Amino acid sequence: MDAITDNLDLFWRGILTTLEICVWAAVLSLVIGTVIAIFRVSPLPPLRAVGTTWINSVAVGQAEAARAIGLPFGKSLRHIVLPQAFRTVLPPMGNVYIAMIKNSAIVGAFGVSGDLFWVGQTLTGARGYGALPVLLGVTAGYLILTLPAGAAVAQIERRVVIAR
Amino acid sequence: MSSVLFDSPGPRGRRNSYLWSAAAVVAIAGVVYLGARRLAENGQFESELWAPLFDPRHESFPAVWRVIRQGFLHNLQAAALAMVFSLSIGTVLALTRVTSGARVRWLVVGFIELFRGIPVVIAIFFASRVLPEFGVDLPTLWYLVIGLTAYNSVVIAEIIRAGLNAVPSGQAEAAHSIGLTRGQALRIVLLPQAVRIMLPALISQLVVILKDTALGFIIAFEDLQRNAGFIGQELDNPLQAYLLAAVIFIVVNIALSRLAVYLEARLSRGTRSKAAQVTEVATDATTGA
Repeated sequence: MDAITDNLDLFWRGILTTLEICVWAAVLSLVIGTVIAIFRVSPLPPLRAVGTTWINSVAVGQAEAARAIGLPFGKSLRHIVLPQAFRTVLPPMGNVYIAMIKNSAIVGAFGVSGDLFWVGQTLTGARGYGALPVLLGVTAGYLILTLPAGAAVAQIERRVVIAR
Repeated sequence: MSSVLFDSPGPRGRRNSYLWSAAAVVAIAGVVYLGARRLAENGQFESELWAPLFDPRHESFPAVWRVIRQGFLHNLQAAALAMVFSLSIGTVLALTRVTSGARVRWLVVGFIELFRGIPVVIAIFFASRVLPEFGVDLPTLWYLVIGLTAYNSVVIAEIIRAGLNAVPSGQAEAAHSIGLTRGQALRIVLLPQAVRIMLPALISQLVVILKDTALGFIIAFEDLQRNAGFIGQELDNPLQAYLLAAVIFIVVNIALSRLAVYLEARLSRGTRSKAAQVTEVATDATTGA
């Protein structure tokens, strides 16, 4: 167990680095994903051709009502459709983000960064610690990130889900 | 998407729409052009780089394709083994979870949650590090198979459980009321229906396994990706070699996904909505690959 107790700070920084990578990836993918979704429903055919969309889950009546009160495309999206679409997709999106925490491990394989997987590789490789305790430490690190995230997603799912 | 979000445009709207569409086309074409020009500047379109991969008359062509074929066969081999093990262990886990008492159930749930929380990359890497320490010395292929199985068997267990839950409870009640034991009810009545419901989800998870065999590069498994990298190094055309590997993966995976859609259409007649629900559960799971 020395492998863990000796290197608590390294594991801790690994957890933070993994988290940092995920936050960046989450923000960027949210922005790009939203833009592509807007392209998908836009009035301009070439943009429509560029990007699946979640917006379709919002009841058609909502969009019709938005237009009936005279909102143009941009405003009906911003004030009526997108806020509801985001609520609907929160649970699946949460699952994508949890998956992202796990997928971020791949960067360690390319030797980039000091993320959790990289910590595991360094400790078992260059520093010569036994693999099993390091595995336990790395696993604990990922569970610290994924289990609360999973609980949060379940919580959000209960709260924001809209009855249709 | 029907145009619920905007009115059908009048003359001025149409003119504006044409104008903006033209601008968008120009912008998209511009981005593509810039990318292509960079590639051309770097000589990436020289036939010298493409011929060994795609021109049968080139001297290196047979050797290149032999290496590619060998690599992909390794992918298929690892995928086939991991699929068989994941399916059998996953089934055992799911059945234990639904049939056993509280204590064993919690054990299984803990096991499932534990392995679902570990990235598959970690499972593969540590399979190759931990097992040798215990004197288990295996070819690289098997470390990859064990890593993939550790992760995917619990995902498949969850898919099977979701499938069992999606069978209407009247089915189990009817089975019990005609005197079948729990095991018989599961085997004769519930599982066959569950399999029909969950087949699409199951197949998409199997596709994920095939894709994840490419992660074998972490433990230096000689798969398609690694061999493509090797070719790229030898012939100094990594872009083209990796592109070829990507195309092969894409073609095979699209074919498998098509198969899933076809099977869904065939098998889930009448239980469509249920199948869709399980597919949803499974997509949550598969995104975790």
